[in-house]
Formats: sequence, C-alpha cells, structure tokens
Amino acid sequence: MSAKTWKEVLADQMPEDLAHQIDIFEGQISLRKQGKLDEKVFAETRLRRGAYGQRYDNGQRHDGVATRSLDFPSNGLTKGPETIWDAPGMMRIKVPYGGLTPDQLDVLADLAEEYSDDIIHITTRQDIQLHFIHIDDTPDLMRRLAAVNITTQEACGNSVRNITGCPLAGVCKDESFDTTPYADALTQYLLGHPDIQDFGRKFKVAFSGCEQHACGLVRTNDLGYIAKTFEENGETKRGFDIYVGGGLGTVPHQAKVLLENVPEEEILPYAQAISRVFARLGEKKNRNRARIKFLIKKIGLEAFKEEVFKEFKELPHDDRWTAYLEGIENFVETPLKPPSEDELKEWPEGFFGWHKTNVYKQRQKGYNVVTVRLPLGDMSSWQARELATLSRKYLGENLRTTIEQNIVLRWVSDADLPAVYTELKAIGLGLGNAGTIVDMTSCPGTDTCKLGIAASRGLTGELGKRLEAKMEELPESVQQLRIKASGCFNSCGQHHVADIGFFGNSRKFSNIAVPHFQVVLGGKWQENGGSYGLAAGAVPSKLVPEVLDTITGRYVEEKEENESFQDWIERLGKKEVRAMLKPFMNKVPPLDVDPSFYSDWGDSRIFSIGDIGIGECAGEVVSLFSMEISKAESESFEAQIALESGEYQKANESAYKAMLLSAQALIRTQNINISDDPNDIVDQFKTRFYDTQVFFDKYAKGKFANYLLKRHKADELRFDQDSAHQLIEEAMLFIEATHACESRITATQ
Amino acid sequence: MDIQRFGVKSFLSSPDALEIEEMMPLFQRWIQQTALPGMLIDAADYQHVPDGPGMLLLAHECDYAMDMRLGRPGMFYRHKRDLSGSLQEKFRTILSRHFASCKKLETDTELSHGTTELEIAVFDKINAPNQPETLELFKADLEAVLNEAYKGSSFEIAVKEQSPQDFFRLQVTVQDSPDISTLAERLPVA
Repeated sequence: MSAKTWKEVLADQMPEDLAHQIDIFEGQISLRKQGKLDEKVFAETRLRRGAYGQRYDNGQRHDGVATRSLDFPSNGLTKGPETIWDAPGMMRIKVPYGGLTPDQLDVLADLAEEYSDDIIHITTRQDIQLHFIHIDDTPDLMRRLAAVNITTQEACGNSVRNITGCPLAGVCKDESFDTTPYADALTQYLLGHPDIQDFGRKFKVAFSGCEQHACGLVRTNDLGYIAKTFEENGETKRGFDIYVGGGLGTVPHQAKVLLENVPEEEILPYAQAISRVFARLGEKKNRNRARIKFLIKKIGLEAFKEEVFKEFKELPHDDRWTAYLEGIENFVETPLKPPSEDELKEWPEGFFGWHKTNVYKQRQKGYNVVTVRLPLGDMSSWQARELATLSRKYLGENLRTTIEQNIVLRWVSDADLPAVYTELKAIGLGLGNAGTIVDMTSCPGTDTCKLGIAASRGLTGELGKRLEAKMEELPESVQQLRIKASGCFNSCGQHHVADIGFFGNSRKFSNIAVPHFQVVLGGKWQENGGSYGLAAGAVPSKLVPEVLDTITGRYVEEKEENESFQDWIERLGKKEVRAMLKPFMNKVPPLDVDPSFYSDWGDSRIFSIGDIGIGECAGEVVSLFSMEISKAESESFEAQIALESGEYQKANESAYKAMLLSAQALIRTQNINISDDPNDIVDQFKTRFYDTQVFFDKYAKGKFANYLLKRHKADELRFDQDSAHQLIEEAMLFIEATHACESRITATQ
Repeated sequence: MDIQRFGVKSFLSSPDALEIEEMMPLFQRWIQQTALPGMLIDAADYQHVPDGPGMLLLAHECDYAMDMRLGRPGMFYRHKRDLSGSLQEKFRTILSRHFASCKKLETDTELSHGTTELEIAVFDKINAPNQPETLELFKADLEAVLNEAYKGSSFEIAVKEQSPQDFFRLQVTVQDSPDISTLAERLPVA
C-alpha cells in the first residue's frame, strides 16, 4: 500500500478555490519555515484561518514550583511574536448559526482523536474548538473539514467571526420568521470579502428571530439583526432591526438600534456599508479601543449612521445582495421522519425529568427540539460518532450548536422521544437540566487560554458537581438561574449576561498570589442579552461555592412574589450587594494553615499568574498591504513547486497570478474596490503606477513593471522549463519591486 | 508509508479503586519530575466527559492518559509525531513508553494493570483504514515486538470490531502474561 496524503485523497471533494487557498496556506507554512515570511504576517495569516495560540506557547510554564522552559525542538522558529512553532495551538472551526450535520460530526470526531485530545469543544459563539493542535497538521485538518463543507477561514483574527443565530430558528413558536437563510447568506457574502480585510479588530455578528428571548444575544454583538415583519403598501414584508456597537469584553456595551424595519434585500449591503465605515474609521493603533463600540461612542450613533448611509449609497451593486432571496419564504428544513402527536403512555426511567428541561415543542406539530447538555461544552470523539449515528436514525441533518455550549437535535418526532432519550443516555449524553443553574457556560480559562487568570472551567466543573448533587432540593427560583464564568475580564464566558457571573482575577496575600473571581450579579440573559450585571466584589476562588450558596439562599428568602433575580439585585442596591459579599472578601488563610486556597479548582499546582501570555485576540494589526502581498508570495512559491514537479504550464500560470496579486495589493492601497479581473488589475496598475512612473525603480525604470504587462499580453506563450523558470524569476522581481514601491509611497505619507 | 500516530492502552485490574481526580496532582508531579519519556507540557482534566479521555498528561510528541473510554479505565499512550525508524522500531518505542507509564503509575499509586489484554490503535485513516486487510501491514512487526515483551507467553492479535468510520484498532490477548514491571524491563525505553 503506497502512502497517500489527504491532499491527494480529497482533491476532488472540495471547491477548487478552497483547495487552492489551503495549498497557499501550506505554502506559507513552508515559507515561514524558510524564514521567508515575517512572523507577524504569518501569525495574522494563520489566525484568519482559525489556527490560534494556546497557553505556554511562549515556551514557559509554571509547574507549581518554578517557571520552567519548555524545550520544543523548534530551533528558534516561531509562528508569531513569542509563539514557538512546535507549541500546541488551538483550531477554531466555524459553524455558521450552529448548523451541523452528522457527516460533519464524524469528521470532527476523527480530527479530535487524530490531531487533538479526543475532545470536541463547543464555544459561546457556536464554534467548535480543538485543542493541542500542531501547526503542521492544520492544512490537512482544513482539507478534511473543507470536504464536508466546513471552513476555518476568518474564525480568528481581525475579521468577521462566526455568525451566530438562534438554535431554534425555523422551529421556534415565537420567532417572526426563520433567520437561518439570512445568517447563511451573510456568512457566505462576508467570507473573504475585500471590505472586511482591513479591520482593526474582530467583528461579531448575530441573528435573532425575536426580541424577547435570549437565543441570539444580539445586543452583545458588534452587529446584530432581529427579525421583524412590517407592513408596507398593504403587504407584509420581512425585515430586520439592525443593531450596532454591542460587545462584552472588559467594558461591556449594549448594542443600539441603528435602523429599524430594514427590508430583507438590504441587510447584506448594510453589513457591507457598516464594515466599510469600521475599516475606514475604526481605531487601528490602540488595540484596546479598536472594537466598533468605541468608534460609535467616539463619533456618536447619528454620525456613525450618516457614514453608513454615505457608504451604502456608494456601494457598487452586487447581485448576491438579493440572489439568495428567491424562494426564501419556502426555505424549510426537511425532517427525516413524519410527525406524531401520540400521547406518550410509558417512558424510560428518568425520562420525565429530562423531558421537562430538555425538550422544546416545535411550532410544527408532532416535532420537538432535544437539547443535549454538554458539561463544559465538551464531548468525546466516540460520543460524537454515536451522536452522528443517532441523528441519522432520528432526525437527519438537523443539528445545531448553541451559545450555551450544548447541541440541539431538531425535528425529533413525539413518538421517538423515549428512544432518543434512551440512546442518548447510553452514550453519556442524556443529562437533564438543560438551561438551568447546572447548565453553566465557561470559557477555556487557564486550561488553555493565554489570557486566563483563574480556572473558569475548574470552577464551573466544581459548582456543577455540587449543584447536580442537590438539584432536586433547590427551589425552582434558584434552579432557573444562569451561571457563567470567564477566566479573565475579557468575557468570553459571557459572565455579564448571567444572573450570577464570575470572572477570574488574582489578589496577593503575604505577597503570594491567590486565585479569585469577581462576582457579577443581575445580568439579563433574556431580551437578547438585555442588560449587564453589576460587579460586586472579588472573592477567593475556593470560597465561590459558599458565596453562591449565600447569594441564592438570600434570594430565596427575600424575593417578593415573581421577583426576578435581576430585580432583586436592583432592589438590594450596590451597597447591600457588596455587604453580602464582604464576609468572603480578603478571607484567605495563611499558606501553612490552608494551602488549598493557593491553588485553583481542578489544578493542583500552586497558583501563579506567571503563565499569562499575550493574547492573539488582541494581537497586532498587520497592514492590509502586508496581508495581500503575502498571498502573492505564496502564489510565487506554488509556481516554484510546480516548476520542480515539471508542471510548466501551471508554473507559468502561478507566476503570472503572483504578479497580478502583487499588483492588486498595491492598487488596493488606493482603491479598495479593485476586482479580481486581470484586465481590470492591469489597467489600474498601468494608470496608477506605470504611466505615473510611481512604480519605476531609480535604475531599472519600468523594467519590473513590464514583466507583468508583457505576460498579460500573452503573446507567444511557451510552456517549457526555461520559460517557466524565467517567468518565476520575473515574478519574484516584480513582487520585490511592489514592496519597494509601497515603502516609498508610505515613507512620503 | 510513515505512520506517526499510534495508541496503546492497558486496563486497570481493579477499576473501582480509581479516584480519577487524584490523577491531576499525580500528573502535575510527573511534569515537575520529568518522570516519563517525552517533552511533558501540561495536564488536562476531562473527567466530566463520561467514558472519555479522563485525565490527560500532554507532551510534545505524545500524550499519556488515565483513559476512561467505554467505561474501562487504564493508562493510554498516544504517539503523535517525531517517531522514527522501521515499523518494528516504532512499535518498540510506543510499547516501551506505554509500559513505562503503567509501571510509573503502579510505583506511585496503589493502582495496577492487568496484562492479559492490550489495545492498539492506529490513528491514520488513509494509510491504515479500518478493514481486516490492514492487519497484514502491521502483524509481522508487531508480533516481533510482542514476542520480546511476552517471551514464551502465547498471544493473539485480532482486529477489534468497530464501525467502518472508526480508526483501526487491534486487541491483543495474552495467556499467562508477566506483570507490568517485567514487561517494562523487557522493553526498556530507548
């Protein structure tokens, strides 16, 4: 049996342009290894393909005694600033609006077991994350995902992140209409779009089918769409209220309504216009102020709106804005089995309790949505395969991830519920109490995140165990509370919208660092993340279970009839809330009296903040030109590979493409709208840089520019070794000349 | 054909004796002590995942775990990269490291492994697809190394019945197997 590669096996199982992009990335890996690609450019490149860093990738780790060096065999090679090549990383995999199929689950299971730690992790943005991935494995990982229609492109970095959506879209009793096709259309439209390549920071988008529920958390996103219908000329039309400027992070902002009743045909161009304003006016130097919420705060919502209107008017028309709308009102998922409304006469043990919390009756009679609760958002590869098999049997392709780090199975018929429950239980996925106090959300925290201060997963794991044990004794009002934990102030665990939230920090006692959590109370999960909680005080991590008991105990005692937790916290007032936590604050025994306070939940090491690194979510801004020209360099590398393999025509075409990409990168510094059409590129290059002699080298004059012009004319093309080799040399010189030209232009600005 | 990713698992003789949360401080100590082969990096706790990877000790070229898969706990060794040599040498490397980790566990805790059963996985779907014919690729070299380890004890290698989507897994069943210490001695870590 001869050795095969995934590239060969999957060659015709994915779109050609996607396959080519992955080849380019693989080429960039090679270029980086040869020292021919700047580490910052490579870092941004891999981030935009979902290849993220992880804790300890700076090569240092505190082992509980001292900080030790991790001696990776990388010989100084890095994959970004202070990021060692061989250090394990994380792969973030986009799952637009959470839509997953059984085939995709099977592949994810394989990838988790082969390249990762056998765990599939669901994030608070409906993504999947695989941890402990080696950068060398990422191209094959991407290929295997691409073969089942999954991309990692723009999962991280200064880009449009995974677009989230209600997991009940299309089956919800309360939605205005199904937002799924809109979320899908916007995902496809913005993916790789030129207007989103020059952001100073990440950009998060969400869709919600209604205003009142939580599911989409629109108000916490940079850009959000809440579905509405409205009357126009006697006709009921579909549209959206557009929200902008939300965000959690260190300083949470509520999104504001930018526009109401925007017709469906305008949501894509408005997204594009908003992106252009963000790219043009957003902060790029100060990373801490670069989200769109700060731009809106700086210039005001009305001024921002005016800028959006200006861009909207000037947008070149794109058929894709409305092409997807044809027949959209008929968009519907296909259930696998017919509905049944038979009253259940008998059920397995535990079914009734599970049904109460984990089953949602769809608006389509006879069907249900089943929530598969995943503690800490994790499932094993084996569980994923079994879940895929179960899905094929009962519901077909209709799975979604949720922002509460669970999975929902849609279109489960009434009659199948007992069997589905039994089979879920058999694979360890039959936990009840979805959406209750034990169904906690947590970011990875100090387990794997470079920015983590305290162990958010360890904490929620411990709280989960304790609450699970006494769940049946807890009053209903406590059972319904939501707990969320983040490892630091950056809110990836969404602690701001929890009833009871925690974010990690650290305090010193006798000069020794002790893990703590800031308690954040009274956030509103409903109404799309309707309001944010109040930071009440920091308590030692090991006292959080007691703190939780105190808070919930007082709530039960003091609440007025039907008084929500938020209302109770507001009634209590800041002073009294703090007084409630005071007995636990600064209550750390000396190390020799109780050393347990000096390590964190789920981590036996003595606590240290020495492992905190530089987060890549707040990394460098790499210029648009640098990103664009790196594509040209990669294409040039592809040409060299083709030449080596004797594929002379391919080598010629790749060298030509490298010059076009290089010219395009330069043009884009003056005209963001430059198309991919070679004629357009060469015309604009000639007008802007050749006829003006801006591109001319002092000594070589127009020589390098003529390499592109000559090849574009395509007179007497020959595909042999010598001419391919010559063209590759010319392409490399053209790229160098482009760099030089851009440097000259930048120096004069 | 350069297969790099293999897994080996033994099973605890008294699974009820396991307190999985105690593996975390143990693995952290092993990292401090550089107690096992490989560049040890970190420990990861997955005890909340039923029948899952349990508690992991992650290294650059391999992982160790107190694995809980399918409800049968035991030490699991997974090799990930930088595995050199012939197929026989590769099997010798992974088995020697696996037995070393089992022995270390037995030295540092009250836990022990049965040695009449071993599970071996190959995490390479295109070069080792999960079909009976794949056994022929590995059998001779694996048998050679198992003969070194089990000297004189008879053993059988069978393909584990799994779904076609799963990875290629083998079951090794041994009669009158020696204990872990002996196995570790016979296959010392290079």
